[in-house]
Amino acid sequence: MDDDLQKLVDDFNVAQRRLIEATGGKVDAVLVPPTGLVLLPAAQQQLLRSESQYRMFAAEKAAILDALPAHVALLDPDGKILAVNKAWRDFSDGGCLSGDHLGVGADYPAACSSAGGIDTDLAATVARSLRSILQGAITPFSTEYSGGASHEQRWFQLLASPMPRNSGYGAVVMHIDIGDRKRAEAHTREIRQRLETLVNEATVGILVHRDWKMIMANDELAKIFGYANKEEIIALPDLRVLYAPEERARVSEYYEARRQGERVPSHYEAKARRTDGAAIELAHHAFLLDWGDRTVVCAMITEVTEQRSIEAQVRQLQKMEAVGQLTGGIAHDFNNILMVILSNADAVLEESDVPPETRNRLEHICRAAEGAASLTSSLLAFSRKLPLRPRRADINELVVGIGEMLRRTLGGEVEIDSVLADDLWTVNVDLAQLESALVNLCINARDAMPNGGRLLIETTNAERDEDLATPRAEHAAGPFVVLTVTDSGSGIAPEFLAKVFEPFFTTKEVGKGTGLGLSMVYGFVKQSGGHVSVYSEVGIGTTVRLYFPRDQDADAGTVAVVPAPPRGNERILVVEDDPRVCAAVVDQVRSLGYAVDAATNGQDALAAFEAATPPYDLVLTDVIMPGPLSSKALADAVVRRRPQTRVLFMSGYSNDAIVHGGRLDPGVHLLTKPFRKTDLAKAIRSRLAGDGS
Amino acid sequence: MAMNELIVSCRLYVAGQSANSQFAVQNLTVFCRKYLPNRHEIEIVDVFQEPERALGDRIFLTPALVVVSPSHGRSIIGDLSDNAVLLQALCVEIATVGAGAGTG
Repeated sequence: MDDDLQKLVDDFNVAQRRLIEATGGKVDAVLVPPTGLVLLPAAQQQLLRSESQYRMFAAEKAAILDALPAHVALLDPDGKILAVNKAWRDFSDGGCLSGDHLGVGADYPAACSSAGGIDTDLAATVARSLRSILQGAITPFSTEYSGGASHEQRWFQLLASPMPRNSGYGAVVMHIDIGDRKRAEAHTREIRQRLETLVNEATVGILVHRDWKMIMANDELAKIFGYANKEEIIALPDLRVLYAPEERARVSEYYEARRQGERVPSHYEAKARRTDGAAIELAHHAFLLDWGDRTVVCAMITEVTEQRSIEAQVRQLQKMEAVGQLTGGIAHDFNNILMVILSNADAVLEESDVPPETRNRLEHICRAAEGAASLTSSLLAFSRKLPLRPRRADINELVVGIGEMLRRTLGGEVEIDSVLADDLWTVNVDLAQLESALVNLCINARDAMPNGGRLLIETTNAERDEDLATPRAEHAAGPFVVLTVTDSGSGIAPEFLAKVFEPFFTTKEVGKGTGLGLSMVYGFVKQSGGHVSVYSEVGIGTTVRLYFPRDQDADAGTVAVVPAPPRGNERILVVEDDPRVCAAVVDQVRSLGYAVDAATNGQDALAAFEAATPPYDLVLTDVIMPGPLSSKALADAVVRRRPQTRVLFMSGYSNDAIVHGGRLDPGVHLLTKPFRKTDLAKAIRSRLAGDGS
Repeated sequence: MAMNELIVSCRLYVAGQSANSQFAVQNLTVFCRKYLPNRHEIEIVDVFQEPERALGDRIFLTPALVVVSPSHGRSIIGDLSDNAVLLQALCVEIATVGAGAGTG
């Protein structure tokens, strides 16, 4: 080689090496103006490697295309198919854009324009897009379409990409089977729809939120809070406004603690407010939920306002029931004691040589005992153990009848009005008790109006009880006759309202009331199959409504009390287990002229009855009796053996042996203890005269 | 603030798929995404295809980055692996991008 040339090559190599050193090896090429360039050695090596890789790919292009899962066709610039891969050739399912035996040489855009079996609009769009790519558009075109028989629908994605200009090719078209993806999408969509339906149809309010911003809600939640739809509730900026102000701190604390994984109740109740301002009680079941890449809180919410209110009412009813049983039991024992006091006092009074002072004291004893008896009678009324004598009655007549008496009792300061329904239904009640109940209510009303006021007595028919404040757990649905007493008095504070029917509860001063008036009314109305409601506003007045079931039975019998001669000489068997009561009763009966024997239980009584000659005309028996033979069984046995013999019951209170649902069975005659001798005389005469049966 | 609102426009000369050219493309893209999000424009010129354009920018080696705006003319030769150099060249003041600017 020429030395000069050798020198130039050496200079060139030195220049290259120094250039690489100067740039830290971080350059690839040196430009040689005007249009040439020299690649530095590293870049040259790399270029050679990639050239050989490219040649290898080029050599295996057909094999690679055949290995692709897509159907691939190469089009020339006019749209004619130049080459297809194996998947394209194998695909013979008619009806698809790639199918229909389109082989090499076919005009692909034209075939698309006339393709049958698919959406013609789609085919036209595909053809148009392909032509625009062939004419130089550089944006690839992609669309999804379905084809195939309806029972086996297939999904494809069509991709058409332009080929480099001057390559001699126009475009490459690919059809990729996307059936699996479509099926997975459909499956996901179905699951989502299923869940949406469940959430929207749920009868529990569903609330999903993060930091009190709503993420999801259902219509039930909107309904609970009084919104028209869930969108309104989702739009709230801070969900805590849904809760009562005093609850917001607590629900916020629960939320924060739950988010931080601390132990907080997952079930809790909280007070909230509906859009109309009504207070509601909500039961929550709250838990954490993964929501995308965040953790949110989901609460299942049920409104329990009515349930809690009913539970409170049921508790109140149960309490009243328990107190009733207790007072009933005490009253019964008291009556037996009063019986002994009264009958013995009566017996002494009848003696001829009683000094006037002693007589005076005895009369005091009798009055006090009668006062006590009247108290126990009130207790029995409350505990629904008072034997009632219901008869068909028109409450209007009663109201009119006692009008004058009420005016006198209540005094001139109280103005009494009455509004009576014209066509008032009849009821089946004990009129004496109803009168006493009405008087009681009117006296309460007067006491609430110390400076006078207005008292209104109304009667109405009601198909059903519309009064939502009334406990609904216990009573019948209607129809009812409603007797309403309204006053313009001081009213009852809400905290006392629930207690007014409890015995010995009184708002009156000590000594002014027994606390039994409303209890008695309550017991009596309940025992008559009705119920009572009280509505009151402090400073406005009080309304008490008595609901009595309409008398649907026109043939309801009446029990008339027929006056009878006080004395007689028939044979009477007295059956009473308490020896003191027994002795007192025997004394009374004997003093009325009758021939008397006594027995202390049912079996002895029956034995005495069977052995008696001449037979007894009347058996006077206590209702509650020890031993296997009940008073009812004794009475049945007596009537079976000798129908002419009458049975008269006496009791401190009635029980199921002779009374069903607090009402006397037809044909049963009952003398309520404690009784005075005259009551006894009348009852015995009445029975012996054969009254009633 | 005015600096932050400017769009930084630059041109990168590469020699085909050569290793340093590809590094430069990658480094520049990452840098711009991090320090100039939504306010950069990059034009990539392949000297195999358009060698005459390099002459216009007086570029004789690739890869080479030329800043077109806001201030035209500054250029960097190499694979752009030094962020500090890029920051300076692209007029990004370190103070405006925070303490972590130099660690990318």
